[in-house]
Amino acid sequence: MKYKSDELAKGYKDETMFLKIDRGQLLEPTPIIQPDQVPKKPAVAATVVAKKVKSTGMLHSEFLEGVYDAAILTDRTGKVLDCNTRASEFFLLDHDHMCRLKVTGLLAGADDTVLRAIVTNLDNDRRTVIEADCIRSDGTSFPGEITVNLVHLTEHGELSFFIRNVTRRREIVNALRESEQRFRDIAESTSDWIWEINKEGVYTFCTEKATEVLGYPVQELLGKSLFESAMADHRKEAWEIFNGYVERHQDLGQLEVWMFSVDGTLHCVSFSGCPVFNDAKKCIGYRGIASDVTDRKKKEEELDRYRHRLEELVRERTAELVGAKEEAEAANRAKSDFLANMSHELRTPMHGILSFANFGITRIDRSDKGELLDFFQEIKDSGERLLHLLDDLLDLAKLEAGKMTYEKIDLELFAVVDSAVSQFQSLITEKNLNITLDKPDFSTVCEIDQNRIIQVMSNLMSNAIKFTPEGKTIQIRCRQGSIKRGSLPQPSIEVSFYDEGVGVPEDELNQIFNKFTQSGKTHTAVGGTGLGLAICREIIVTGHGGLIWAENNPDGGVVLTTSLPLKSTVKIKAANTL
Amino acid sequence: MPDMHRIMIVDDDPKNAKILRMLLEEDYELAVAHTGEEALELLPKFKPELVLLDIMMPGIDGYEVCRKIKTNDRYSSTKVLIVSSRAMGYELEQGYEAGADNYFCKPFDHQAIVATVASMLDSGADTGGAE
Repeated sequence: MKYKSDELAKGYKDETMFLKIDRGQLLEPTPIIQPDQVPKKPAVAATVVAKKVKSTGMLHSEFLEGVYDAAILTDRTGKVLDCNTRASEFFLLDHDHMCRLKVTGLLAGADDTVLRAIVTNLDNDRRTVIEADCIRSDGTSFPGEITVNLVHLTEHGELSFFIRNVTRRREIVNALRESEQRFRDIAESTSDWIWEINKEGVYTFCTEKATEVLGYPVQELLGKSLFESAMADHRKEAWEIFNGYVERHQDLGQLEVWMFSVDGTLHCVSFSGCPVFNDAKKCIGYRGIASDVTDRKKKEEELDRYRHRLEELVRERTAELVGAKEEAEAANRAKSDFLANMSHELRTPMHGILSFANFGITRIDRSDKGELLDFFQEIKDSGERLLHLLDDLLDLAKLEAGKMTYEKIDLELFAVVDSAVSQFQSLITEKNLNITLDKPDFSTVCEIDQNRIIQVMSNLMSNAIKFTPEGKTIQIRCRQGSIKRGSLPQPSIEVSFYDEGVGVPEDELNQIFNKFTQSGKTHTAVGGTGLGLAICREIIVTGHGGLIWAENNPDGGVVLTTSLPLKSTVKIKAANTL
Repeated sequence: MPDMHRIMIVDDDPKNAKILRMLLEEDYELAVAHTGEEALELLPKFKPELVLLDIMMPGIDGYEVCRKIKTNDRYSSTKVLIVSSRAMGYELEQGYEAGADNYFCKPFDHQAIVATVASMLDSGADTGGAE
């Protein structure tokens, strides 16, 4: 065979036609690989080899052996004229077999039409690169990238096919494409977005989803700091936390940053990611995912608020219940105490009545008149004590029901006190007590219910007598005082009873006026039922707009004081002149 | 009679003291105290074999007087009979806890208390004899 070796040196236009054979069709040119990325090696190699052939006069077979690719030389109809060993290896056919075939039989989907199209391309001075599956003799195939050149070894012109097995490259490309697709699918289907920033926190990459949250187009975000749109008072803190991660090359775990979107609304964005290292193992930034957790955050906060409110409510309700329970228990205790006291108070006079009646019965024969009289007197005293108790109970019931009526007239309070005190003359004499009560030199006229005020003063006097040991002194003093009514102090008359008893503990002073409550220290002495002072307070405070209080006398004993509004004569006169 | 048993009556209510006195004065040597303080003062002087003790008194109450008697070795043979209008169960318990040997609630049966006093003094005398 003779070849015009100089034809090999024929230059091509710098233009390449890329073709792909698919299902027997030569497809329209498709830039499967970008022209500028095409490895030009085969073409360049071929040119170099051709030049070499031309210059050294080497046989074409030798030059074909020298190339890495499978090389096949055909005539214009595709009939194989020659091939290198590599081609035999690729197609699992020896040289002679190869030379009996047409090149179209080696390429899947290739036929004479395809070959003619290729030849036409080549005649138009266009280099042709074909992607096609190459069929081995055993029926298997491999993807090939075939560079077809027109050479003129004879006057007819021949075709050279340089076939490169691109199985590996195809695999890599496919893997890359698959990986890219996977990334794209994930990025598109998740509500989160993917970001990449450098060590300065500046976006180097970001998926479209960021736009949905922050409103900024991706192009606008790139080159800007991730922390730029963070809430002002939050920015420094977030940046410092991020820097801490960078320094430790630590994975970024749920860094939550409150950020403003383009329309000014606040979003809580949670960033998770890992450090990115360059080839020198140097941390050059971070990449990861970000999600808008505003809703969750708000729900958490709301939940937190609800939880707090609930805890508060529970605390309040518990306190209320504890209070109510304590109140109920106290009421129950007061009731029990009252019953115990009532039992005691009823039993004492009852004991007197029964005992002296019994003495009368058992001793009637041996008792003289005087002794019998004494028994009757004792029975009468006890009976009166019982009646007094019943009166107190009735008064209390009336006061509690608000049914106590007062018949008030203008009276000298001092005269009322004096009359109450004088009732106790026999008791005073019996106990050998000194009583001091001086007539005041000022008016003590008050508008009062005489009987009720006598009841109060008698009660206070009775208490004082019970407290004061035999032979001691009870002082009763009248003073001018005042009662505050709103902002104006109103003149009043204060009456104080000073006893010389054991006194009342400071913390019990206010309680002695409560119903059923008695000082533990003076239990029996304060009239037994614990009703006396409660009744006094009702009559003075509710009935007469006055005050009543107890205090300990520094010299010993208790001072019980009532303060009743003074009848203002000046006012009456002024009213009359009008 | 020099051999009469000594009984101390402690009650702030003169009426109650009088009732007890009338019931016991013929058979026993009596002393009457009207307060707890007075009772404790009288105790070492009178050396009663039995104390009839009221509970509710101003100042030192009956429980306290009872405890003071019962925790003092000098009065180990002194009996205490509480006579009180306090008749609630827990009040009786308090009395026994304070060391009382017996408890009578007012109003009481005259014959019953006289009999009890006699028996308490007899058993006391027996114990004394055994020692």
